[in-house]
Amino acid sequence: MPSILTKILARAGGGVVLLLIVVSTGGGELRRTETELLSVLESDAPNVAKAEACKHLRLVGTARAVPALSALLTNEPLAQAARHALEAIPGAEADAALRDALAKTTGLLRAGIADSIGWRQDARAVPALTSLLGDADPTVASAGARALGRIGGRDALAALQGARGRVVPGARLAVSEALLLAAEAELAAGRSRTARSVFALLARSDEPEPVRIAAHAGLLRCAGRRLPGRIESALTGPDAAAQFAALAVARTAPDPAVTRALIAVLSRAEPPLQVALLELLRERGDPTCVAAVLGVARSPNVTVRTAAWRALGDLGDASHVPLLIVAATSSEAAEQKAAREALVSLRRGAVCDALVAELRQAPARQQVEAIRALSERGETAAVPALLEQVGEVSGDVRHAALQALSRLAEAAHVAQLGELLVRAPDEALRAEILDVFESLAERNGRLAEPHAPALARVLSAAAPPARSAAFRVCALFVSEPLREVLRAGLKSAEPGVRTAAARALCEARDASLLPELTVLAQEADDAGLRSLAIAGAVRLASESSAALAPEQRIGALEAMLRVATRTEDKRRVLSGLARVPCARALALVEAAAADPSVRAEAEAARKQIEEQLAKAGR
Amino acid sequence: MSLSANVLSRRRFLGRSALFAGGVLSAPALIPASALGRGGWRPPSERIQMGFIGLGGQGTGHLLGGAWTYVPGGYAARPDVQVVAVCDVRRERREHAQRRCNEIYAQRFGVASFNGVSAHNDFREVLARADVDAVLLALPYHWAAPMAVLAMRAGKDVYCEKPVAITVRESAVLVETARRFGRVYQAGTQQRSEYSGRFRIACELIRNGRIGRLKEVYAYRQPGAFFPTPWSAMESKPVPPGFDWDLWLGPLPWRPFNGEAGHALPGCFVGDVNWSPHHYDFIHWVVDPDPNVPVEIEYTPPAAGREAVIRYHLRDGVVIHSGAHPGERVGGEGGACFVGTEGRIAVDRSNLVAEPEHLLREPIRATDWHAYRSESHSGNFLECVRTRRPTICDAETAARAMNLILVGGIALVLKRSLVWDGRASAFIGDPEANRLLAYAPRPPWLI
Repeated sequence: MPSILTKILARAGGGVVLLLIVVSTGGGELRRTETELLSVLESDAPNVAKAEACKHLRLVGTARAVPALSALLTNEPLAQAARHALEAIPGAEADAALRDALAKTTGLLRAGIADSIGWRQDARAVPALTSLLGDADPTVASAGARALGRIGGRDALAALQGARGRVVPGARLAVSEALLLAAEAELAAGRSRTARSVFALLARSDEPEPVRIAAHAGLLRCAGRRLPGRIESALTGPDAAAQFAALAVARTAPDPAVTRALIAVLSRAEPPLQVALLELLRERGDPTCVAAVLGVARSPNVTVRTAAWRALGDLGDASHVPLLIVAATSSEAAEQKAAREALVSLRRGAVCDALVAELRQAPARQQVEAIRALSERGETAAVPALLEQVGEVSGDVRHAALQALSRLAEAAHVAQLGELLVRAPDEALRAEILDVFESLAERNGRLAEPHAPALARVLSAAAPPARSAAFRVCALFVSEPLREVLRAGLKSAEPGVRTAAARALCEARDASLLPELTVLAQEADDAGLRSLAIAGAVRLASESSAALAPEQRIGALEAMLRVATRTEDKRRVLSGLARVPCARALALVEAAAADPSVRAEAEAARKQIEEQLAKAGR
Repeated sequence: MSLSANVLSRRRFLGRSALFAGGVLSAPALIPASALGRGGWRPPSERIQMGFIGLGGQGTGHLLGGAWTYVPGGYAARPDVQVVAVCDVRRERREHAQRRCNEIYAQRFGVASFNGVSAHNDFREVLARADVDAVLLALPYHWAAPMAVLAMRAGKDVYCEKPVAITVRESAVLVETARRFGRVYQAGTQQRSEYSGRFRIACELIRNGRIGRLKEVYAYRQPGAFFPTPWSAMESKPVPPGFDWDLWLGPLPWRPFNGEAGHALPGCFVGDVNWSPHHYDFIHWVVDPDPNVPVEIEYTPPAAGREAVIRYHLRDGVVIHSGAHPGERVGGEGGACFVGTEGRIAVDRSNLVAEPEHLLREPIRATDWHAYRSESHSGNFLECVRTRRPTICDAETAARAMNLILVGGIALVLKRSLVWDGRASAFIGDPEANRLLAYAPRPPWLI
């Protein structure tokens, strides 16, 4: 069996006492361990060692340990440790020891013992604990009361009720709380009549508000089938504690009749309570509340309206979209936020269709809100309508639609997006549509049949103003038809088209275009374009995500090293080589170190490659 | 009683108040809880009056601003909060906080002599104040649950820093008290609300099946439990002036001061109860284990140079490992790594990553399951104080996660595997382990 070895090193009067306690977990070892622990208690070991022994006796102690432990209950420095142990030792012996100690102690020691008795729920201790209620020390009286509360039952309840008004002032709250505790136990045991009488006593009296709230909650929990009516009465009545309790209890009562009671109160309540009720109705998730929520949604109080929109988000349906769209344009920030969130939360009915209807017919500000909601909701079914808007409107609505498309457009929409791009009347719109393509490519960079050919057809027909953007779209994806569009552009008879295609090629994400990039880097007349091509080729060759064999990578980088004449181009290639650790790359960077303009970079690349090779070799 | 009558009574209260040492009351009305009628309903235009108990790094950060408060200037800068009391057992801390708060309010209200923030050594004075609606507790671990319980009994709503309890018994009393008195309670597990919603997004992705069926969770932290070694001590140093050592110790066994009063006394805990609440709270949010199904807690002794491992075996074969996912660097800073049949998602305070990556690109749709949404942990607490809605991490939620930590910690103490029945709040077939579910506190700190 596993064991715990605990060394206790304690200083005692300048000397050092070393105790080794073996605590184990079963059979004969357990008894032996208890014996050893008890021998510590019976020795003249220092208090720290005895306290430590008590701690372990909590774990392994039996009735055998009770006499030694009970002797310590009156020893102030060790009483807590002894209680700690006794509290956990099962059996009548420990109960009796704790009861006996009540009479031998006073003050804090007595309070602690009472507390331990309470946790053990020793019903035989009720008379002794009852006598503590008359103690002049409020700590003792309070501990006695709480212990009685935890033990509960008829006698404990009677003792606590009898003590009301008679205990010292500092213990009154403890007595009330103990009564609450015992009454809750009565209710849980099905003795609701007893519980009700206690709760009623505490609710009617001049008890502190927290006690009255708990008592009212208890009364409501005793109400059974009358609960809905009681909740309504409490919420409409004059007693603040009862209102508070009613909300708390309603929260745990799923009965539809309770929902109806809350609805009945809603329109009559004052704004702060209306807000709380709306939150509660929202939590209940019962769509039958909607009419009541709508009834207060026109409140002049913005906080009530805000709560109403929040509730509508969880309880409402597609028919509430127009109302929420209008609220989402509120100049009150909290109200606007709540309405926007509600538009995103709505579940019931054809919400997407309702938002699209608003998109098509509402005023511009509301159109923007509808688009925002469609985007936040991830409504891909709205993409055709959004594409439609991009083609037909301008300004904020178009901008919002494009932003939504960035999030929602999928491969199936690329041809339509391409159409918008080639027809775009200005560069600004083309740039925004390019952003949409970029987002789409981030999510899905590999366009498959039939989307890629359809997009290629559209882009290859682009007129001069849109050609550059069309080539840049081609460069975003990995797809043969789009490659072909780029390649055709590179071979165009028109110099402007060739340049546009070449510049787009430099941004290509498709590793299959590496040969074209290499050629461009080698043959381009324009030094700037050559640099761009080198950068593009290095990027593709050194990216781990590019689907290239190591020899293809290194081959492309070697070719770039040969064509690079500018220092910054050479540096770029060296940094690419450093990311392709192999013997050939090492040889290339070592050779490059002979070039004084990039010696430092070549050395750094060499180090990086060697480190990676060493790591791979381990 | 009508609302207008309440307002009148509040104004009467203010007329008697000595909050302002001089000058005319030009600040917005401060609403004392004592004067609130109608169940304590608090119109949102009115400030919530708060006491701050525990003014170490965390508490002062909350009060005046710090990395973990997520609100520039802390609660003292919030327009919806009025700090009325600060409390710490170290005089220099409470006096510093009092001075700063008074300076802030003097400037805000244009009343140079503002001295409406009181400083207290004994938290009971704060709890006894009728004008305190809510308290923020940032305490040594052993005080968190007892003080939260005492505060709720006094009718205060409570924001409490973790760990929310150090024994399962304390957890039970915490939950029972919040329920009995209908108090709003928020645990300081701010990851549910902050960090750009990263944790909520991860929760929604996983619960909506993006990684397929959940198989394993890596917690990156050991659980922990209260098991003081030694129970008491004799080494003694002079108590610094202005430090109430006895009150700092509170329910712990008395020992002389020896210069070690931080978040906890060294050796009081086995395993980790400091950071683990963040990790296991988040895991709880995602996994939502059925409290009615017993949990098998598997103990594996430490291998050479490593710490012992706890594995929780939940329903449907889900296993929570206390260690890190091999090869996944994300998760150590308050997070976790979740492994499913179709991939894995790991999250911490700075990262949200997935394998394969595209798992993160599929947005959460309107028809998916959505988590309780809060974009500000303190904001959520204050909103719930007003509406009485449960917070994003209420007492029951916090206690369930804490209990998972504590029972795992008990397995570390005993160095053996256990079976935990959450419904019965007891280990099955292991009476010895059940003896570690509580400790006897030092009077008068009995709850």
